[in-house]
Amino acid sequence: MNQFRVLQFFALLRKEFWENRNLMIGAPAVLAIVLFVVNFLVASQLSDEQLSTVLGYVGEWFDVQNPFYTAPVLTLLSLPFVVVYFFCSVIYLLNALYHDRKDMSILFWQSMPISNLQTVISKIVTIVIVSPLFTVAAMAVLYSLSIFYLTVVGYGLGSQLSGFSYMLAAMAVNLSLIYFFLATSVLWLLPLAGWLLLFSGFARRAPMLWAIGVYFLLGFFEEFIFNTRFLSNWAQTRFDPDNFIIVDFSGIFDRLLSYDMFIGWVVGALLITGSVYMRRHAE
Amino acid sequence: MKKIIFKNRFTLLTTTILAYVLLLVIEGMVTSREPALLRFDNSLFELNLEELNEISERFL
Repeated sequence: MNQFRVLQFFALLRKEFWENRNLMIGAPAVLAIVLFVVNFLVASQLSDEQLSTVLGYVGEWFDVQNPFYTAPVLTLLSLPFVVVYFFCSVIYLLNALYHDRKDMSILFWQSMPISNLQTVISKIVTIVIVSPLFTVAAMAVLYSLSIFYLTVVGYGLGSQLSGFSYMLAAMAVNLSLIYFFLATSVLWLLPLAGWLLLFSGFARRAPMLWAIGVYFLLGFFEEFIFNTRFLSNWAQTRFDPDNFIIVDFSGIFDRLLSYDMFIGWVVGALLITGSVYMRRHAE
Repeated sequence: MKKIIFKNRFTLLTTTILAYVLLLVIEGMVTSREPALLRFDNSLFELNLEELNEISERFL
């Protein structure tokens, strides 16, 4: 029975992946291709002498350095992927419970032996665990191709390339750091995920407008009637990048074991519970 | 009570939002939460939006 439940859950995750493969694979893959082409064009604009100097400097900087020390520096390169990941996650969450009501496939899924709780949990697991895997995979392909290209060019120019093996190690460390950063950030933003899922399950049309509009209305009425700012204070501290951007591994544990993370889970769990019950009203 | 909450999607949404707001207000009162976003401190300049609010309140 337990094995059946596990297989059932894996089937739900596969369904999520299959239905949203453009957001999970398409978007980071296109970004990786664009960045590789841009890097290639920039490198082709430099003269051989300039390129040799840059490669020599990069190789020297990474040479014999601890990859755990140099990996956070590479986090800057991953910024476009992080932005695209969050953008795609918001779109995914807004459509997660909305689309199957719109195309009435909810009736089919509710006729299957799958509870609403399992369905909603599978969507949360998808953005916390599954989706970052594909983002990191796209980054890994981009990093590997870039290093291969630079190695070939550097070898042709006779540059010092011994530091490139350390750069490869730093990139491997950086990729694992980015994966944990993305997963931890989604857990930190669980109240936002719950809020989007709630309105994805509620709205007949335009779930994004509902989600944004209701929050702004609540904040406005709170300040207008009670002259307090609890809602806006909460949102501002939750979305402040300083509170969830992580540049080293110790930051992950500090973030996961903090009070703010815990209260975020409580608030997120409340909203996710609301979205689970909202699936009952599929009409 | 349960019947009222689950009566339709509007009552369910209202109940969830009420519980959400209540939780945030209680948590905000207990922790005296203040937004960190209002302060930008770095070596080049210092900007505190709360001070700007105080200035505007003096003039208005």
